[in-house]
Amino acid sequence: MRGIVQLGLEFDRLLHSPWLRAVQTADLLSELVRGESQVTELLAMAPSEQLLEALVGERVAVVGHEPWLSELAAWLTLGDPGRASMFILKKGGVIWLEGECAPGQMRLSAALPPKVLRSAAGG
Amino acid sequence: MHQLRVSCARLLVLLQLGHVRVLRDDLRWLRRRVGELRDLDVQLEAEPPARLARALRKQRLEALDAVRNDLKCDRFIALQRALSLLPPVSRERAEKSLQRMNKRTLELGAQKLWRESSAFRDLARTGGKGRTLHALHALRRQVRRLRYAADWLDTDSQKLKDFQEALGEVCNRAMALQKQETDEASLTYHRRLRAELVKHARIAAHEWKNVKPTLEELSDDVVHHSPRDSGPPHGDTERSGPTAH
Repeated sequence: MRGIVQLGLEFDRLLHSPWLRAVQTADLLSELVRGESQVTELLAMAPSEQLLEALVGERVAVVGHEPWLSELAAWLTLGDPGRASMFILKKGGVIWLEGECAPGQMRLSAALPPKVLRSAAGG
Repeated sequence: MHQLRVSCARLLVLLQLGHVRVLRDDLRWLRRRVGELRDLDVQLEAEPPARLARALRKQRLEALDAVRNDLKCDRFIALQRALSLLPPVSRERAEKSLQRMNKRTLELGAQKLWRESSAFRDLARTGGKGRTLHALHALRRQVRRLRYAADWLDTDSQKLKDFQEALGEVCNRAMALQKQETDEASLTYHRRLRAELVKHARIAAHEWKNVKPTLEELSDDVVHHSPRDSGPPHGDTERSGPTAH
C-alpha cells in the first residue's frame, strides 16, 4: 500500500469485489480515493461487458481476483481475455492501464509486482 | 423498507466503530434509495389534504418500484455478501470510536441546542427552513449514530433513543412543512404542522436536558474502561461477522 502511495496515485472511484481479501485491500486503498467506492459482484467473476460499463470515471481503481483481473487487463489492452497469461499479477500487485476503457483500447503503463511496490515504499 | 433503512444506519455505525471505510458508500447508497420512500411516508403520516395525499401516494408507488429494483441489483447482492464475510469488530477499537462519537455529540448538542437555543424558536418562526433544520438534522444523525454504537456495545441507550425520537418528530414536521407550498387549500394543514412542530421542539429541548448527563456518564465509562476488560464484544468468537449481531 505504501508503495502505491509513493507512486503518487489518486483515484476518482474505487470498485471492488465483495470477497474478504478484496474488501480488506480496497479498505487500505480507499485512502487514495477522492470519490465513491462501490462493491460489485462483477469483480468476483470473469470480466464481462457489464463490468466494462461499470468502469466509468477518469481514474478508477479496481480490486479483484486472479485470473479475472489478468483477463480484464488482456481484454482491455489486447482485445482478448484469452491472452491473460501475458500478464503476471501476483497477490498485492498492480497493473496500471491508461486510455479508453474498451476492449483493445487501453495501453499498459506499468505492471508492478509486490516486491517492487515494497521497494518503492522503502521496505 | 423502514427496517432496511434502520439496518443500513446500524451497519454504517458498526463499520465506523471497526474503522472499515469501504462499504459505507454502498450502505449510504442503499439508505438514500430507501430514504426517498421513507420521506414520502413521513409526509403521508402527517395526514395532508386529499389532493396532496393523492400526489404523494403516486410518488410513493414509483419510489417503491425503484427500491424493489435496487434490491435485485448487483450492488445490493454484493453488499450483502461483503458484509456477511467481514470479521467481527474488536471491542477495544469500538470503544475508542464511541468515545470520539460521544465527544462530537456533546459538542454538537451544546452548540446547536444550548448556545443556539434560539433554534427552536426559529423553527416555529421559519417553519424549519435553512440552517436551523440542517443543524437539527445533523444533531439527530449524530445522536442516532451514538445510540447505535451504544447498542453494539451493550450500553444503555434508552435516553439517547428518547432524545433521537423527539428530534425526529421535530425534523419530520419541519421537513413536511418545507416540502409543501402554502396555498389556500392547505392553510389549515400548515397551521397544524407548525403547532405540532413547536410542541415537539419543546419536548426535544426537555429530552436534551435528560440525555446530557447520560452522555457525560457514557463518556466517563468509556474513558475509564479497563483495557483488561476489552474482550471481544457480543461473543465475537461465536459470530462470523456484523450481520450475525
